[in-house]
Amino acid sequence: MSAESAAEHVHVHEPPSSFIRRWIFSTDHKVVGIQYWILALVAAFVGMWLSVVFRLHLANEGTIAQLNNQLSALAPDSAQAQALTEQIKALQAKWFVLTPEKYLSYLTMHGTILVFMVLTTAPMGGFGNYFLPIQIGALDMAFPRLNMLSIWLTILSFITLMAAFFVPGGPPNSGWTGYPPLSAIPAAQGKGYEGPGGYGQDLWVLSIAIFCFASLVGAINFIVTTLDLRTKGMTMLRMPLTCWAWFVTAILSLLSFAVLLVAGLLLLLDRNAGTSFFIPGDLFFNKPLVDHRGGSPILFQHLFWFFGHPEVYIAIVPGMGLVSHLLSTFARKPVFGYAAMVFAIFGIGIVGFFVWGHHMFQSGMSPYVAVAFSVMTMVVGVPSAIKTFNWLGTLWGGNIRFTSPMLYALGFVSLFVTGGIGGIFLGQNAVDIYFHDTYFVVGHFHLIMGVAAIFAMFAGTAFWFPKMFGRMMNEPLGKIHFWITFAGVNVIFITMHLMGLEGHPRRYSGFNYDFLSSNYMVTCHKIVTHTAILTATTQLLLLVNIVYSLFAGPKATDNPWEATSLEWAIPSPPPFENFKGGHVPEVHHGPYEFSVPGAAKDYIMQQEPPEARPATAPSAH
Amino acid sequence: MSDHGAGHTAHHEFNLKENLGNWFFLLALTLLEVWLAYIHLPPVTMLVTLLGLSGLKAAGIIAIFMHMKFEKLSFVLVVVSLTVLTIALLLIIVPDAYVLQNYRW
Amino acid sequence: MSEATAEKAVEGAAPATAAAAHAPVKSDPWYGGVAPFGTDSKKFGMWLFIMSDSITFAAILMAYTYMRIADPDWPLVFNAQSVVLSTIMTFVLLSSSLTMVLGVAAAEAGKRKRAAAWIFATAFGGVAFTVIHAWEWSHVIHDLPEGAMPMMWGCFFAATGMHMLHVTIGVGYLVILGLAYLSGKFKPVDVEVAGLYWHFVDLVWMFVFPLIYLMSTDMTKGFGH
Repeated sequence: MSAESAAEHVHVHEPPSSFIRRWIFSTDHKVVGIQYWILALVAAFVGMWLSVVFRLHLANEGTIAQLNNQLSALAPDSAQAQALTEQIKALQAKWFVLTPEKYLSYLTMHGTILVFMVLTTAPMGGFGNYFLPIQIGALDMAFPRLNMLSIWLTILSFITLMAAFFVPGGPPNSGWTGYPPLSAIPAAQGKGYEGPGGYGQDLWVLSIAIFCFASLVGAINFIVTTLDLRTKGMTMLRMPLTCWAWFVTAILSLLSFAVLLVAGLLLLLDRNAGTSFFIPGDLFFNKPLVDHRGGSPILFQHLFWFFGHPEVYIAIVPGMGLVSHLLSTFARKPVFGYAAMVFAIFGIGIVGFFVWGHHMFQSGMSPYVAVAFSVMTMVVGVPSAIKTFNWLGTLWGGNIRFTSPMLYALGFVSLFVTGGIGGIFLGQNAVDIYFHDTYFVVGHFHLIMGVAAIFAMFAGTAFWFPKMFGRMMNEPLGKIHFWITFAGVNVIFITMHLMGLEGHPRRYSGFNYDFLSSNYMVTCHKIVTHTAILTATTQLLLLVNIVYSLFAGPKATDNPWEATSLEWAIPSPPPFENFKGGHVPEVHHGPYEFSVPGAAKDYIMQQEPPEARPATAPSAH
Repeated sequence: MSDHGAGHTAHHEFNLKENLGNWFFLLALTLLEVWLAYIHLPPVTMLVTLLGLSGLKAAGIIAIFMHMKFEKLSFVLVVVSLTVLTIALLLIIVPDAYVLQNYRW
Repeated sequence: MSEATAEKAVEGAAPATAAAAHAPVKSDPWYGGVAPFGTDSKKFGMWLFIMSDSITFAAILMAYTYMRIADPDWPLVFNAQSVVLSTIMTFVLLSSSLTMVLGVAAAEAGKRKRAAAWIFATAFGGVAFTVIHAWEWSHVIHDLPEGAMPMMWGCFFAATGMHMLHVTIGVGYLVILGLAYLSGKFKPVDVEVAGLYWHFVDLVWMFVFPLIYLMSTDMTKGFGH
């Protein structure tokens, strides 16, 4: 019926015969997707274990601070004092007690690696590259060579970032936000940075600049692919919500990375060319009086957060799309309010551009501007709530199948709500003045942006693994991994919220715990550290599951989850040209035709003939 | 939406006169801008005038040299409005600079 | 494929139901299978790049504006000589845009050699612009004071440097394009895409020139440094 009309598209290429062109420098979107996915996996483990190192530091730093307090109360020469000193030294030697500079360095690298190399790459570059063309019925991305360019630039960016560990002075210590003047003046970076040094920060900026370009190339590819390469019948409103999410994310990347590039560029000039865009006058660092003058660190904050806030949505929106997709598939119900979901994604994307100032309430912004930013921040709650309630509406009365991808997706919804509530506090400028730069913020953004997005990645991995590698993942292992991780992250980050409520500042490597309710804080730090070690170790289960399933998992059928979108209509793993012989099917149905009354099965795939849907069935949306 | 329907836009006639005219127009506006530099205007007036003239020049380049006038209206609206709105959003940064005047150096 | 009669998606023999009433219209450009904007995908991609890049330049110029507002005693550093020089540069760039347009037109008319000639002429314009600009830069750098750079010159180098980077990349792009087009590797649409990039570089200069040069000009200084 539709085969002859689809035939005019066909221009199938043979897969390249050389190994390098096929699997390494490949223009095949599926290979590029898997490369992104592997990059994110590697980066996630590097970043996570860095956090374990500085968590160990933090847990013991509290104890050491307490012991030091006791020590100061004793007579310096007493036997008790000497014993205490020995105890402190032993503690410091045994655990990773870091210098403040090292602590900040690891913190910086942890944030940068996870935000850029994991949260930005896996959901979009990984799953997006692999499944966007298949889900919309295309043979490849619009610009396969640019696709290859974007993954290899991203890898180059990752290598550049990692190189910062090995240069004189070590990695930068100005945080993943790279705030000047700390990041702008080499001499400002503390011990180990005297003399030349400070190359770590330069490499960091370079890495970010390369990453900006890679993301831009990727975003262009995604937008053009989504608009131009949809197969016949795949109208915009018949795209799975995953595709909508990738589309909106690509628009956000397109418009926001451009500004980060400028921030990085000017920072690089400040560091190396003697300009002073971000360096105010009369700064005194170590000994030399910096002769830069006239700059403004707040300008950097503006440029950075103009990108930074959309970046939060770049990390989370693909997760939202994926979770909507999964909840519908495993609840065997159409997505509740498909159009509302689409508008909510767009709403979040648009409003996301108007709220960057809420990261800067403490930076000396005009109160009038702050109120405007605060109001816009509250507005983000509206589309977010629409999405949350639609997720619940999708689940309501569904015939839920608790597979591991479904559990991860439900975990996402839970974390999104828990983390989102903290956002209501932080978004109001009056309240934020208290919470700013406390552990409350750390707990909040880790829950909503970090862990929630990571859960979406878990979900995507578990859901699409059969399609990507042709084998099922191990269900019991996945479920154990889910429950431990889910409990673990909640303990870690809700405890951080509590510490923030007490006023514990973030980014401090050590603290005089007399100032706060001392035992409480030290206990909190210990709880967090222990749980973090447990949770981080649990991630090895995921690794084991992936490696084991890759070789020994049961073979996957074409459509193991009984899902509707086009990727499940082709073999697992897909052939080189995606659709056999390049014959892309025409699409006749919406993406979420589950449990249609009167239909033969409880799902209708998108490419099934129009007759599969009984004419008497009510309209899907 | 558009006057081109679903068809291709590629085959429009090349109009030498129009392109040459556009070139002269851009040169003339440039000379006008340079002339403004010779007479002394207050900075704000100067800025507004220059930006207005540059906007005109940009429109000439985009519409005629870059063939935007042959594209569909929906395409023009998407590309131009998104860019202009995002750039306009950057203007929120500017008021902070006045604060800076008070505590510099 | 189908005529303007808005035909509904075929629903077998069943009469039009509520579902069919909302069924997508096959002649709609958004139905799928065609590019909805009717623009070549490569051109669309270049337009998206231009959107992003124009935001980059806007952010640089915004940083400059910010610095300028923050400093009430902004130095007016350019004299009549600089203005004459930068006007010549503007003229060169504008004319190279015209040659690019002629190159695109020749390519679309299938005149391969003439198109390549115009493309190389455009690249030559880019080289001329860069040479004049680099000469000016070398003088500015020579006259810079010791130590940190005054803010004015920081802004100057950031904005014009970014633009010059684009011109340089553009020249390389045009040379490769001209050679490849001459040997028959590229299609006319590739020439048009390169043209979009080149015109964009020109367009950016239309903002850099008045904002950086003309806004900071003191003609009373006359010629010479």
